[in-house]
Amino acid sequence: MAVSSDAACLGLHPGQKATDAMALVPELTTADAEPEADAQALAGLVDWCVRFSPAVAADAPDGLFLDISGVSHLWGGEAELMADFRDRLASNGLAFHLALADTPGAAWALAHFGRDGTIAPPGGQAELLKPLPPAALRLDPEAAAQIARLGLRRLGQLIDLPRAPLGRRFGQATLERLDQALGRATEALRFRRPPTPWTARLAFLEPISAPEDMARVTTDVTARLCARLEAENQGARRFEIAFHRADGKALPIAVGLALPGRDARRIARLLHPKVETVDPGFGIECVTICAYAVEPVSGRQIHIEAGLAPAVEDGLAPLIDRLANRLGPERVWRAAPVDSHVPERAVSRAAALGAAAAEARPWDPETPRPVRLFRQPEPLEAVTALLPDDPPRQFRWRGRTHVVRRAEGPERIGEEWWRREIGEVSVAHVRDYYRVEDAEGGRFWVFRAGPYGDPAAPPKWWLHGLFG
Amino acid sequence: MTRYAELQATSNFSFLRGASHPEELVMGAAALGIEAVGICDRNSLAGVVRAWREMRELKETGATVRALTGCRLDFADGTPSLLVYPTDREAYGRLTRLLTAGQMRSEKGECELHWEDFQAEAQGQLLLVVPPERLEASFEAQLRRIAGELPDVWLAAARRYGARDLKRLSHLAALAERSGAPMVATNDALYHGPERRPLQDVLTCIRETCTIAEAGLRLEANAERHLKPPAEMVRLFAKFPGVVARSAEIADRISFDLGQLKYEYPDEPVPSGKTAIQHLRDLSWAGADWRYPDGVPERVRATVAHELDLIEELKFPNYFLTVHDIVRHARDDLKILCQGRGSAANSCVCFCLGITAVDPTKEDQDLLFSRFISRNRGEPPDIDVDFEHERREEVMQYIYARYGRHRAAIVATVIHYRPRMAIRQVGKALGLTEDITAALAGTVWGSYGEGVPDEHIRQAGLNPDAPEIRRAAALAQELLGFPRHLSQHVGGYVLTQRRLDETVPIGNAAMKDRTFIEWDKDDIDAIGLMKVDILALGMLSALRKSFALLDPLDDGTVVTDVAHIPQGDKAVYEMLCQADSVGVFQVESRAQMSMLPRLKPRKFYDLVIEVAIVRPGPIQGNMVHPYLKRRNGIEPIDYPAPHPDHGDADELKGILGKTHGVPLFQEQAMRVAIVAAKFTDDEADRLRRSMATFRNVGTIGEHGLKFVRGMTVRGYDPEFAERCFKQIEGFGSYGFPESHAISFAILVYVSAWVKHHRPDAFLAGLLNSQPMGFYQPAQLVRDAREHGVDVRPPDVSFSDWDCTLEDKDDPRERLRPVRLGLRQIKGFKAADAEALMAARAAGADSIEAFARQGRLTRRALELLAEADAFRSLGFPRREALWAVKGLAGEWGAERDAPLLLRQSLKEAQVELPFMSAPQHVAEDYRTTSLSLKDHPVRFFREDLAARKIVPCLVLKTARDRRRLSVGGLVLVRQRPGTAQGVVFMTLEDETGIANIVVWRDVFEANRRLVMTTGFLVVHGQVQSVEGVVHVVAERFTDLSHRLSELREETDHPGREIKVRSKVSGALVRSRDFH
Amino acid sequence: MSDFRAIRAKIAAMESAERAHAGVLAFGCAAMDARLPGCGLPLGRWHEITGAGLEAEVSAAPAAFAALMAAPLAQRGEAVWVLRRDDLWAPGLAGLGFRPEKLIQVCARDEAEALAVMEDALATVGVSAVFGEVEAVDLTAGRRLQLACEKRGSTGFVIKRRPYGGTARKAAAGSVAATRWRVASAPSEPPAGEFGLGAPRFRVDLERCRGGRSGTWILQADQAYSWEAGDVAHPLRLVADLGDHELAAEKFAAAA
Repeated sequence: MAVSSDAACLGLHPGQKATDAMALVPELTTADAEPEADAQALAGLVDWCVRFSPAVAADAPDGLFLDISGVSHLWGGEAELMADFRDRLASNGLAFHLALADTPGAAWALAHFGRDGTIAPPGGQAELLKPLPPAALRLDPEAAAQIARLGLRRLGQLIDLPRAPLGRRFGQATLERLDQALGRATEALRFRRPPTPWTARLAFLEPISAPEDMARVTTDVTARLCARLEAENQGARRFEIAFHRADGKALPIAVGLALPGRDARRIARLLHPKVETVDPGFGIECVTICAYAVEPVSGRQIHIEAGLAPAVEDGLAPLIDRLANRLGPERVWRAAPVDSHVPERAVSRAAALGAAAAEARPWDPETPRPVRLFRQPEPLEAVTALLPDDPPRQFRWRGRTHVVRRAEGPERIGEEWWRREIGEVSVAHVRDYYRVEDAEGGRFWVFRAGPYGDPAAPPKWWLHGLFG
Repeated sequence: MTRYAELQATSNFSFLRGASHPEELVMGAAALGIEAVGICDRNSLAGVVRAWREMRELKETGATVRALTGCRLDFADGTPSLLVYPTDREAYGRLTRLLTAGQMRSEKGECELHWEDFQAEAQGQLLLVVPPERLEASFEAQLRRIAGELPDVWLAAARRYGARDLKRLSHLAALAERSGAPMVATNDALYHGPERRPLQDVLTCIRETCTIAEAGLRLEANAERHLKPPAEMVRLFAKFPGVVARSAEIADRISFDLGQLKYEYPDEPVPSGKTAIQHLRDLSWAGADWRYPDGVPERVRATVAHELDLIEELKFPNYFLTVHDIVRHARDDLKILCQGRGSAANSCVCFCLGITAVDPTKEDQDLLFSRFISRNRGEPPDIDVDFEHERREEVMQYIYARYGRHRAAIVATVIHYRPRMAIRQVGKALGLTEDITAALAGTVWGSYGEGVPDEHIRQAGLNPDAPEIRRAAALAQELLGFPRHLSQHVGGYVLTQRRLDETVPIGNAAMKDRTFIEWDKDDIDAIGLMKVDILALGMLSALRKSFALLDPLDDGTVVTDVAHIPQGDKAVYEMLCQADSVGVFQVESRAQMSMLPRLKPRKFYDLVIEVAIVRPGPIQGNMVHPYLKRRNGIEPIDYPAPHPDHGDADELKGILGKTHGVPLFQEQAMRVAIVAAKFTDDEADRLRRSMATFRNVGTIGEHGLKFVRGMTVRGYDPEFAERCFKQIEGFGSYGFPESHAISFAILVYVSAWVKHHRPDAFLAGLLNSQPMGFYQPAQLVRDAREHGVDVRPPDVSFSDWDCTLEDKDDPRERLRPVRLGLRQIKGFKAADAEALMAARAAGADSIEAFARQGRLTRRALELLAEADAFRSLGFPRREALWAVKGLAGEWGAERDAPLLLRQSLKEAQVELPFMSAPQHVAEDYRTTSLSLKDHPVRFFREDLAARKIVPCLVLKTARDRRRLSVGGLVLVRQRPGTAQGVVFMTLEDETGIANIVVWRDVFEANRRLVMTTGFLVVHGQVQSVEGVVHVVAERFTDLSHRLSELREETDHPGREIKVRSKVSGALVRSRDFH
Repeated sequence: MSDFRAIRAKIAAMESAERAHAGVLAFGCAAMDARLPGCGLPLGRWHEITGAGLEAEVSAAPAAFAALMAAPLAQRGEAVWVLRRDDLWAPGLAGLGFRPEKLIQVCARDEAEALAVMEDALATVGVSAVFGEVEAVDLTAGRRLQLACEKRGSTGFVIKRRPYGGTARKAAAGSVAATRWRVASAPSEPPAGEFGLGAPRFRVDLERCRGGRSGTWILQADQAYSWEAGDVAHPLRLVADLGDHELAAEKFAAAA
């Protein structure tokens, strides 16, 4: 749980009940805690910190260690490095406390319990640590609470105690934390490995700008990445290529695959039409490509050996990639069932390839539905029907009168009342659907909106679809 | 006109499926001209009594609708679902046996049935086979098999306005034709009227744990599953002649009616060779001799004889014998304190049998015993028995042992949707976020209520006009009062002579080895089964424990029972008149305390009134002030009378005489309805019951009209009539009858007697029975100390697990010191206390010795040290903790394992920082919830004084209307449902307590402070009336953050360390009563 | 080297096998199959289906018929349906027994794109049937479609559909379609004792058929709107044989 700084000013604090908080600040907005997202954000921040030092370690849930031994001179000193770090964090809108010390333990203690921005002089952390509470040692909370209960509220008091009795009572771990903070013991941090995304890069001595050059480097850089994917039996669903222009701008374009792939030629072919749209400006200095949604794929050669069964990645997947990249992905789909009684909501467009979502039940074939459904139902005229809910006997549609020979219905579909103001919900908000057949055999799906009742406003009739 | 019976109606006792109460279905059917309606809940008969009762009541109004008792059986083995209707009592017994068998082999709330189970019990049942949604070939085979094996089988066919209804129906018709199970029309109703569709959809979502947007095809497509009139059914089934009328023909064949389950009481307690009434007579007269050792007064003799005749006439002797047997066993064999109450308990027979301690012939206890059982109602008598709460389980086990599990079971309690749960679940179903539903639910105080008012929604920071909020609020409102599940009643037992499972289905409870029936107390009442309430009462535990610490009375009596306490002690009443009643049964609440000085109880019956008057009934009926005025002679006592043409001018005097003409008890209100408004007994009873149920808002109005009209036409003042009815309304939901008040008043007197004479024993008894009552240990201790009790802290050298009385330092002292038990230490376990006591008995006298000989765990020792319980060994708190921690092996070793002691090491002396008094007090509160060392507020006194905040003590002498400020810890917050939004708070400082009244508008403006703050200053005006002093709050100052200062180190004042110190909420957690 | 040759031989074998596979799809009734070359609907070719009157615009009966006729093919592989208007409704296809989960729908922006997509899809491994709703197929386009069909043995169904409100374009002369069908809904007949509509019926004119004879029939989709739909060898059943197309037309005129 956390509160923003504004909220803190209003007197809210973590641990408070949401309702109490709301009673205090009615216009409060709250969001559910997302520990996973937090962890992810922290990992992102750790990756970003690599620009200062390659040795970065995450300190969950909300901290990180940066080992700057041997790098601070690049900034002109520790203070300068910290200032730069501070500026960059601040410009990203992050809230933070910084401290710099000889040991991770001391830095942690100062960052959490000391003044923000403290830089402990080499070997001088002990004095700075003394006024801090025992909790600054990153102790097990229960041990910290009991130490406090003994009246030991400051590390100074703890440092002054004889070691053996202290260790006996609060464990070797407590002594170790103390030593780590004071620099008497070393601490191994678990540095995050630099990220190894699937990426490849080509830089040019002279900026390029000719379309054919751009197409060529696209092919080359794609081939380079795909070779790596191939070597590790991986494939990716998405490729992003970025052209870094001399003026510092990067122009990304992306293609998606229906199935994970690593066929460089195919991918390059999908990229080429888009590369043509890239404006090289004063020239491209460098091109990078990244692969996303990487997952293992088996080698394709097997299929030719295996016999006749065509594999999707041989036929369908490239077809869909071609179509989707040419017409736009929204123009290629598979119809998937949606759990809804309302006809126009019963279908969604699913990805043309890929695992079908097994969530919704398949359409019930026993409930007849037309093969053509009009996006806008078309009004019927001159409908004659018996009250209260008999099918129409005849109707006129697009200027032609149809005499109904056979009919089924009504199938009554109520409104989705939860989309309406509760006060306006009514059992009269129904559609009565009929499947009717005219004398020639034409089969129509018509409905009456609402029941008969008000003679002044007789219900309207509509044609919603055709069965053929 | 075609006849029609709806044979497939699902009530809301098919939890999360049906969206109407059984009563609504019956009423709806009556209104539509449907001849009969069969409630068929899924593998359950939980709703049938309600439907049946509604039918009986509608009959009074001339309706002829029948409520058929049926059940929908869903099978675990793929057999199609069946609607079963038993034709006679025997077939009904077979059905309940079947359901019992199915439920007993399943988890709570489930029922696993197989076709073979049904086959065995099929005789006499009419069967309607429910076709599945998808008609596959296998269904025809199953239908043929069922129809082939059993004689009375039909095929139920419904029209749901699906795409191909008629095609499906013609299929079913053909199936019916081929299999010999004729087709019959039903409407498979889920609710009585179509407007329930949204609610039914919400129920579906709750059941499927999805939101309404995700629910899709799990919802019904339309609102057609409601009851439909015969003509409409005929139209819908026009193509299938005869199928509608067939339903009524089936209904005609059912002769079973729940009224046939006439009650049969167990005949166990009767010795052979005697009839039950003979035995009861013998026991009663023997009891009379025991009660009146100096000779049974003639008045008593006559009363007992009269009552016994009535009991014989109504065939209730077994009932009294059964209750007597349970009470006798508990008191004589188990030595458990117990006491009966309830209408039948007011009888002289019960007094003689020792079931109650109320002598109904006492002058001021002129009980209405002739009505102790209703001659007309045909309902069984009602006795509740309270037992010590810690030992009730033993009594329950006795009942099972005595009557067998096949004949004794706990009745059900129907758990209804209450506002919080309703809004939470509806909100979730409608897709509101967790936070919004929590906020909405959080605006509801307590569990009763009238839904969610707009202003509360606004206060939760939400917009009541937002459609999704309105939707949630409206549907939650509709869901209120729906049954959610069945739970076992706290102590209501049903006992039968024949197998209970042939009367009502029995199922497993969540608790292991517990079973309970499907019906609740009202159902049992309606059917006339015998029930006994075995209830738990904390005060009885406390009293027994206190009694054990008392010295023999002056006359040598060793007090072991309530009856041993001398009656009529003036000093005891005097104490109560002073509102000195902390810890006293029933009259310790704020409201009671402020009533005591006004009512000034001087005799026993005053206590009865005291108990009953601070209740929603009299308060809502606005009866309290008139009563007090009359009692105190401010207002003349008169009795409203009817017009002389309409009867006896004194007709109300007989009823209301002992309450000065003001109706205070439920019995009086009912009598007024009968005598003054000319209700029949049945009408009066129906009135009482319709109040108690959640629904029927409409019928309450009807009753009200009838009541007021009944009185006014007879010449009563309409205003008086209105007031009477208001009171009845209040009784409805919180009914408190005189018969209960009398039994409670006995405990009021007895507990007050012990408090007055022996506050030491009283304190120990109360503390040893915690949790119970209104106050927390800290307040009980404080009160005892104010009464001169020397209370001593828990200490390893002196304390047992329980609180004990120590020897007097000076034999002339009246009271003995109370040594707090180790039970006061939070987290400390009884078993560790036992071990510690054993070690002490074996001579342990050091921390190490306790640890070694008691084999105490590290955790136990730390708890003792932190609670400062080693002080007698010379180890104050910090030093003790340091020492305890030094005993052990490595930190991180299993905390809960006994310490493996090493040779004691020579250690460097360590000087731990000095612990200040405030720190000690704060730690005392943390570890034992109280401190004998000091009161936390004292440390702020200087500060408070500087702010002109006066000590609570000042209130005792403060004049009325003075403005002042008091501050203290918040002990209790209360917002009674009857007080129209007023909140009562109790503050405590080192000098006493202050009673605060927060009027509604002040509360609304300071909602958070009032609801959450632990240390509060109240600025307001003194209101002092008849010795009752309140502060009416105007403003507040929150001092909660100051409490953390108590814990601060004071030895280094120069270096204040306040880094990230978390604001501690409160030292004491207030008890909040909503 | 020898490995290479072996693989190449295998591929060649596969390709020829596919072509041989193309074969025909029998309707399962002799009266119809006898009029078709090879006793069934030729596969690895493309077919033209048209509707009359309003159906030329809404094209419901032609679409339903095409789906029914191709349903067995859709069991064997993927199907692609190229649309210009997005009004094809999968629940309707499901009711007829055509599994929509095997169908990829593509909405083309113009006629030329629709034809290009058809061509691309027909030439794709694993695609067994391709439907295209277009206004007309000229000779060149027809040939290209044919070539695409032959590549993998896939079968094409061109549903001729006029844009709403558009005037009829003159049918391109000399279509290379293997067959040309004209389809209209026909009145249904429920079995005795049942209410409502019977199984869907179509009046089907085989107007042109390379290497076969024209004919006119009433066909019924027996299993439509049941859970069994799609489980049979061919969903269409012959109800009435009206003989030669011309003959039937005369009969019809005489009857009217």
